[in-house]
Amino acid sequence: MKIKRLLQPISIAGLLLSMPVAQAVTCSCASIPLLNSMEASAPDPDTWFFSYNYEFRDLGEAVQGSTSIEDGTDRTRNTASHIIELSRGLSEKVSLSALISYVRHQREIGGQDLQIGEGFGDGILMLKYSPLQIRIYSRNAFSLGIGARIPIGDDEQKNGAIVLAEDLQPSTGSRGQIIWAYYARSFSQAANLQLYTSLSHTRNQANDRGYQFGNEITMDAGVSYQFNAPLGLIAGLRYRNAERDLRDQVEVPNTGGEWLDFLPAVQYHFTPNLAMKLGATLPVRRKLNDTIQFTTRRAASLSVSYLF
Amino acid sequence: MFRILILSSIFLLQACSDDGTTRVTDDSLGERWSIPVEQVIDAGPGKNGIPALNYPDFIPANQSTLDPALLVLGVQYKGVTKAYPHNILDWHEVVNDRYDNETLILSYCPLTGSGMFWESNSSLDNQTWGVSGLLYNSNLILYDRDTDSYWSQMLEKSVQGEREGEIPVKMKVVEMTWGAWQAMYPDTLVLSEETGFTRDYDSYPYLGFRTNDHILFPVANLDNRLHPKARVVGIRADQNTSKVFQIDDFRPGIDVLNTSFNGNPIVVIGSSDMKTGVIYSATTRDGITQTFSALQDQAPAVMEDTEGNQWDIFGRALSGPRTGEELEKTESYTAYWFAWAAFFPNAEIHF
Repeated sequence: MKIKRLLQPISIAGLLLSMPVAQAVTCSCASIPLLNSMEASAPDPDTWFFSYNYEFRDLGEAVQGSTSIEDGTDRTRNTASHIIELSRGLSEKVSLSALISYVRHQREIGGQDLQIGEGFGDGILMLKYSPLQIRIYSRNAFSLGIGARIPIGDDEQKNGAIVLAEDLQPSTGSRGQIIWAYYARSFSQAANLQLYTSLSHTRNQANDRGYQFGNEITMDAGVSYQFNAPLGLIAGLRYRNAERDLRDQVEVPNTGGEWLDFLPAVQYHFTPNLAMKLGATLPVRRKLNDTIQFTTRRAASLSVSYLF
Repeated sequence: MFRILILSSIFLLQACSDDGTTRVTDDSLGERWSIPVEQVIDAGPGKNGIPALNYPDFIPANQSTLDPALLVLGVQYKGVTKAYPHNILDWHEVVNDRYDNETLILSYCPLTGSGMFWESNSSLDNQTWGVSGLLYNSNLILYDRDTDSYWSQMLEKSVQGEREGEIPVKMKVVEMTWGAWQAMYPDTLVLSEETGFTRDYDSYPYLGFRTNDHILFPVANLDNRLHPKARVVGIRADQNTSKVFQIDDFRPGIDVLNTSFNGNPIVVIGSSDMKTGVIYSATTRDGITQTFSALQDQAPAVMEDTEGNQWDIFGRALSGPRTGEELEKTESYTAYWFAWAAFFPNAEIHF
């Protein structure tokens, strides 16, 4: 018990300073931020970890290859998502994380044609194996995860009698498989300064309409610093490579590509177990397939996490 | 710092909440369609997401740098000859154009390869049309901005809204290579690439779609007798009675076929190297069925009848006793084979 009390503050610092497990499954124009809130580290045995994440993503930027262009259609396109994660430490090295999402997509063109797709999105179930965690006596963390994306929400929302396009549906309507690896290293016994990196791969299946979001690889790398005060800072880079989407096994033009984003975040610990994190996603470079894609202009997120 | 975090968070939540959660859409589509609604697909870009061109600029042919092999849609109306290149139409699909004071709608669906030229026939307040972002049998559904009615391009009628069931006034339009069109009509104007939109008109937005054997959106009927992207000029009497002629099966130069369809004499003018095909009634307005023969290298005349009249690609008599007379337009147009077969199953193929 004494050991647990000693370890817990470090554990929550590790949990909350870590970057998300993986980038979201993508649609044809940008990402649905499904997994952004899932934390990388694993809670201790018999400990619960809860987080609520809100993200607002502006997807209205038209990009031609690597160049941002003026589309000329007066388009607004954004996605707001609410994501709840619950994790449980099953043993010293194994934990289970579950995530559910509620998503609202909105698109308006020329100020005239407001389209909204809103509802429960997909869920994630992930089993993590963490042979190394940052402790007083250990400066390295390493985790492997395997997970499944489960379509728990609606993927057949309509405008009148017409089914909305795939990128406006709250759920993908399809299952997916995720594998993930994470490594972090601290540079002091108190673990104030950490470097981290992660790699994930998502394979997507087709939904009932034959639409399949592109498989993707995501790599994260960054640094986090926990001040002695309750404040922490995180700065990371995320590279994402997505294949083209498929419809009936035929490649969908103007989908997929490469993104490099800068992800700064600041967090505040109210108590050793309760923290809040404010983050942003700022594009650094894009190299998108084909001619024009609408993609992330910027995103902001707010999360509250609790370990109990 | 804690206060800054809290204030930022409240601002973030408020900003996001203000962005739509209290808004109500009044743009929902009606439930009643005259086509199978389950086959109407939201293709993704959204209504007006593919921006129509409204009264764009044209330039003289001699100022154009278009590739001669590029396909264009050509029209002649009220003494004006214009060409609308595919490479621009691929990105805009609908051109609201003015001839004198009359608005006409030229549409081209890059997914079915079909082009139409219709009168706007809308109110004077708003005569323009737009791209709905919806597809039926992979084909463009337009909408008129006057009544917000939706129109199936290849069915050539309104399928939803106030004007449902209405058939547009159709004008003659010819598809051929820019080189052939320019040689036929040297004084033609051509749609300028200065459209006001930032688009790369040198690039094709649909990967290898023009030539590969894939289709991007499901269709009601697949017919594998021809390559899906074979370009055909088809004529129809009704949904189950139609006939197609493959563009590549015509002879090089000008090829003319005197034949019949559904019991009516027709003349088919085509060219495999000019990539063109049109079909007119072979019966002149006095009830006489004409027999035509091809004219080579006498543009704009392309055929001659036994009375000595010479006719152009639009079926207008340019010389001879019938000068000024015009052959009747038929229910015909050019499209990809897969699209024609989707709309008009069991089409007869001319071999």
